[in-house]
Amino acid sequence: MATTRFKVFANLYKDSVTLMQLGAKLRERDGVAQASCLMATPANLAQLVDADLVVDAPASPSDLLVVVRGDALSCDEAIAAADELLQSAGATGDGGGAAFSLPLTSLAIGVERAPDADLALISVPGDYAAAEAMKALSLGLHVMLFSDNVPVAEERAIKTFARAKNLLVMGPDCGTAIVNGVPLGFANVVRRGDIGLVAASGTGLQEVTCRIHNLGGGISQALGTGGRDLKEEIGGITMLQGLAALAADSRTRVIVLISKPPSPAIARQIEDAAGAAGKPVVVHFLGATPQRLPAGLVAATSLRHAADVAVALARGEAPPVALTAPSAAALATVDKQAAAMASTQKAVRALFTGGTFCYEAQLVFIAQGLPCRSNAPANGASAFDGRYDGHVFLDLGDDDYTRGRPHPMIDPSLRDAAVRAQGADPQTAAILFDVVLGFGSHENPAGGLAQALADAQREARAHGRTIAMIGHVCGTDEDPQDKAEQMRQLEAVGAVIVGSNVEAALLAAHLAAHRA
Amino acid sequence: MQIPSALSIAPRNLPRVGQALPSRYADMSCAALVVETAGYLVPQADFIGRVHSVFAQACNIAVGDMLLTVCVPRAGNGATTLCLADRTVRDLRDLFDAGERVVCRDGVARTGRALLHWTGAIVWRPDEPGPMLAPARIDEHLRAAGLHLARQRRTRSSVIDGRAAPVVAALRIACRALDGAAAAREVDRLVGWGEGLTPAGDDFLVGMLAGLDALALGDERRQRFRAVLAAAVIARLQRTTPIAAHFLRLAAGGHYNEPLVALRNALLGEPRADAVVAALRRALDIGATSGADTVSGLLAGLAAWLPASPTAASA
Amino acid sequence: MPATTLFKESLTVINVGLKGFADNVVAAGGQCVALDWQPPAQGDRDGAWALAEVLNHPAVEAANATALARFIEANPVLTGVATARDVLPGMAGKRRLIVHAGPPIEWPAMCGPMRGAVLGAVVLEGWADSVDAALRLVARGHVELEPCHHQGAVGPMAGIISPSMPVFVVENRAAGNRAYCNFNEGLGKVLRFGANGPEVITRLRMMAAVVAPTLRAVLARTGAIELKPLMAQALNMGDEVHNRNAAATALFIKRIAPALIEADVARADATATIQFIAGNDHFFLNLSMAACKAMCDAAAGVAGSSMVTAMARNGVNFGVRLSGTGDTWFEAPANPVNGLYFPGYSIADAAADLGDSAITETAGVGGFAMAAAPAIVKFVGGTPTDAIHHSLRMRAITLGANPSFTLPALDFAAAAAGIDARKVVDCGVLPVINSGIAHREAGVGQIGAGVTTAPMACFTAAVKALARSLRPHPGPLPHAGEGVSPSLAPALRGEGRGEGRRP
Repeated sequence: MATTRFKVFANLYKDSVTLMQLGAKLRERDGVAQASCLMATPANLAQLVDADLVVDAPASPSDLLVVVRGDALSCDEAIAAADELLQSAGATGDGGGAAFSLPLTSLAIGVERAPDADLALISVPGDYAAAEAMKALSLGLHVMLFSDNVPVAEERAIKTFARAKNLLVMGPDCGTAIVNGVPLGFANVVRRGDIGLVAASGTGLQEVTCRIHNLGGGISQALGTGGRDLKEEIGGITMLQGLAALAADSRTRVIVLISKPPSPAIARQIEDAAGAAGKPVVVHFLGATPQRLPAGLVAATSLRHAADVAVALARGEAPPVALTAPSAAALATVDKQAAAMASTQKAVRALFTGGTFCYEAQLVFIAQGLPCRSNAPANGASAFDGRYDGHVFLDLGDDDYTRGRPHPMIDPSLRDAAVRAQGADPQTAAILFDVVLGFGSHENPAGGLAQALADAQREARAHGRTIAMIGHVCGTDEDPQDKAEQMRQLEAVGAVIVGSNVEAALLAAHLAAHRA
Repeated sequence: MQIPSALSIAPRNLPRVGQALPSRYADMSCAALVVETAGYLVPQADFIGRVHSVFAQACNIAVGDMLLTVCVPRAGNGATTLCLADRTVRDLRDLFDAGERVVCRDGVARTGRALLHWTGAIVWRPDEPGPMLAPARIDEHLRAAGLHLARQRRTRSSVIDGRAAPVVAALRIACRALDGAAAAREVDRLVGWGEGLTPAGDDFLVGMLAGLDALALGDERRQRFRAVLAAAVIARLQRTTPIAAHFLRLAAGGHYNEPLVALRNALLGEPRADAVVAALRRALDIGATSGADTVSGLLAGLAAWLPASPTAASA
Repeated sequence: MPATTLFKESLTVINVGLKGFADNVVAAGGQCVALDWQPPAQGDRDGAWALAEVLNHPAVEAANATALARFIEANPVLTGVATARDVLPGMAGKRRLIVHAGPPIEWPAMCGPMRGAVLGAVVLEGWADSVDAALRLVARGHVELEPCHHQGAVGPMAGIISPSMPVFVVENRAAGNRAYCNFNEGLGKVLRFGANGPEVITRLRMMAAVVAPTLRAVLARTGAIELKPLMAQALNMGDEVHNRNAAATALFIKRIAPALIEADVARADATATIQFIAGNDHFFLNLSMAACKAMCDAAAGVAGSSMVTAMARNGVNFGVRLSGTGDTWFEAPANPVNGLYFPGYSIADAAADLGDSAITETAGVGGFAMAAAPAIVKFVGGTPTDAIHHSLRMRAITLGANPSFTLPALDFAAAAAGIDARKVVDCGVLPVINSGIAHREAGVGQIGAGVTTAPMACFTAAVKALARSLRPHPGPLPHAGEGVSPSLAPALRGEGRGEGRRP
């Protein structure tokens, strides 16, 4: 008979990662059916309902709650184990004989410890993130604000404040930056060079910086603005500041701007500022190609194209045209696979970990008149209602999928499961995917994915079907993961790995068009 | 996007992106500088500030709204100065970089290359003035000072005796008449007028406020006028350089540096003419024309509110 | 726009949040300091934003510099002994006013020791014949009750001062403000623990009739006695002048001994007085408290300052005042005291934290100077190193240090001075207080001692109020506009000093 036990740790705070890891450890224990560790905020308590762990615990939002369900003895042991793990994690360097140092619990003391600090990297819950950013700014630090769920009024307040002090706020919801050669957040190891970037998209920045490196070019600075910077309420404050900073930076010879399309007024402001930069600027507003740009600006039509143009301009060469069709070799492989497909197989199932890749892929389909549904629909796609019917594009890093679990770039298991499930669907003709390497990402994303792809293919083959598997690996040869090895694992199970997201999307669109 | 894990990835053939530089602040080869006198407005509380500007003989540290000036002993004390004890310090530009952070705790301020100690510093406060001389005697001092100043101006002039002269004259008249509105108008033109770190117009206003302060005590109308003048100055601070703004802010609050206070006390209370001349020389010796502009203002302020005399000097 | 300061050869990051980011920065060749971050203000969002508004705010920094300077320059001297009615303004005339420790509290809510003490004082004043009659009188509202602090005074434990009681008069020679405190009765059955029987009344009458006039005569001979030097010396002799006062009391006796012998008082009175003082190791506490209040009051009333000028407990709530928010009390239920109980007693018997004696911690001594009196940590099972760490940790939440008070165990470093409410909320470090523990029932007395902390909620509320006072408009705006910093406000004589410090 299962019982549910709980313990409240008053006024004890642990970050969400630590809590999830602890929960996972407790669930591994024998006799424990379900366990959860959380800060007792109303939102978190509501999630206990889904896990069937509701308890009547006298806990406030600043208390830590551990709930366990299983047999009585195991529950007690699990709670005791949790107690030990939580209490032992405490000490900040004091206690009998150890040298004393002031507790490192505030930015002011952090600055004392490192007076030459340049930037605060903030990843605390969104409720407190803007306040921490303000503290950092008033100490003269630039800010990278990884946290999301920050109210727009607070974003506006801190960016206005930062601008007055000539400081940069990258974020909120900024996951990627490369500053002074140091990758921050989810970012790749790329060589230093003379191309500077400002992007409102994290994976977009990763794709372009990696491609620049892979083409032999280098990055001076890669700045993030956060997802909301170019909305009307904010007005592109950080994008404009970043642009001005790169314009004034002697090391930067070419500038790249990446974002989803802003409103016309803001777009014009950015274009005007870019025109006054005094050096070539590559502008990529995903899905919206500007009609008429000031001199010195070049429009790019895909992330791949943005990198190609930037590298060319940095070398003093003419900007190349964009890719409009996949390589002949890739086409041939996919066509051969298509020939072996059953007639029911018509749909492309695109399962992405990077939101911008999902978006860019949809744009390719929409441009070719192929209908698609998505949980993060681009203009011209329809909303995904949970039914896998026709072309489906899922951004598995979206809030819907990451409540109470880590992002798929860190923990790929959710995406792997979705991939595996496509094998049983008679509609599935192709699985389209991305693999993102670099700091912050899983140490071997291709491992689980290759296994899932193989399982899906086996399932399909058992029913007389063959699935095409199309993807790209976003990374460099300097990243912590071994990029070549990642590609090998995927190709070994029959996936077609191309060089960029847009090429993968074009390949999938080609198949979709021929299967329609 | 939600949060990442705490996985730390063992880097594989990772290039050295930038050399891992040791923190400059941990470098033990910092120069230890001992502060002999600290101005009375230098905060006793811990602070985190930034080096605002560095010159051969002075370094300004921005702490909130204030500038603390680290200077060599020669330069003289002030409300926010830190006068170094070491007379062998040659060039402060060897020890401080503009823009670097300054962390101060327990009376020790650390920068990348210097440690400033002022726990044992003597707190400098301006000397209290002695009894005032007879008006006629003060008139004599003012006249003599005016002449001395005029001689100096022949070789080193500034806008004060040039294009700004009418504005200065109008301001003096407004002070005399206690006409706040008129004074504010002239202040509007003077703040930021001139070149250099402390423009001539600002230096003049500092000196004038010092003069008016000495003669405002006990007179409610004069104090009200003085407050209006100070407010007018404060309202226009963003027009001028940060350094000048700092000194104007201090002056608006009634705080002046040693040479200026000493000269003011001498003009009003020192019977011996040679002592007055010595104080005058000291005050004039600041900057190229900065000292002279300040003295001009002081003389104008004193003349505006002293009992009227047909032979009162104009500066 | 000038070029950004961000682009350099290397990058030094301060990581606030998930540790994985810090590890990755270092792995990638950058420098990183990883903070151990906790939500500030116990997770109160508005409090966190208000905190960000006032941290590193130029006007607050300047105001704090002024407040701290006034605190450090304060010179509290014992100028005399007076009767409460003659010096506490609220007791003038025949007004039936009794003052108590801590922030304001109504009679029905008062804890046991305080009620007992109030009733004893009513009997002492002759407003009622018996404790029962006193109870009826007070219950009907015929006696006014106010905090000591509102009358410029402080009192330990129940802190009851009534009109006929003698008080020490301490004057801050640097600024002229005064503070008062009653005499310490000693240990055992005493008014400040709520005892109100005949022996308590008798002793109080003796103190007024014998000890007070004797000390008055002594002070007439010695002149004003500077208290800071006595406290400083005691801090070097094992006292922290809150819960350890033996050395300070001995130094005081040494200071007055010749005058006591030569003063024109009856020999019996002199003997009784010296026995009274010498028999009470805590005699100096009340002088320490008055001195600390005089020093803290000197720092009060500076607009925009986040410096704490009072911490006090009334047996139910803990109250905090800031220099920049006037007379407002920021209150929260007092934290429990972690300590050792005398045999036969336990936490179930304990009254909540009680007394104005936290004014000593507010002034940077007491628990803040625990390094000077390591014996106290034995009450909480700690070691002398822990005592040192307590004192060092307090530097995280103070504006600076007070050069008058040095602590030998810290290599004669100056004691922390000027609690900054902002830093308390920002660092999550609470002011530590050394406290005696009273029995919850009136009259039983002290049942233990230990260490407690001031509650965070007081400081959160105080920071929010300070932020509100600085905003030009409602709503979150980063900083007040440029203006004259308070410390540089016109310093013409007569302005800027002395106003607003009297409650």
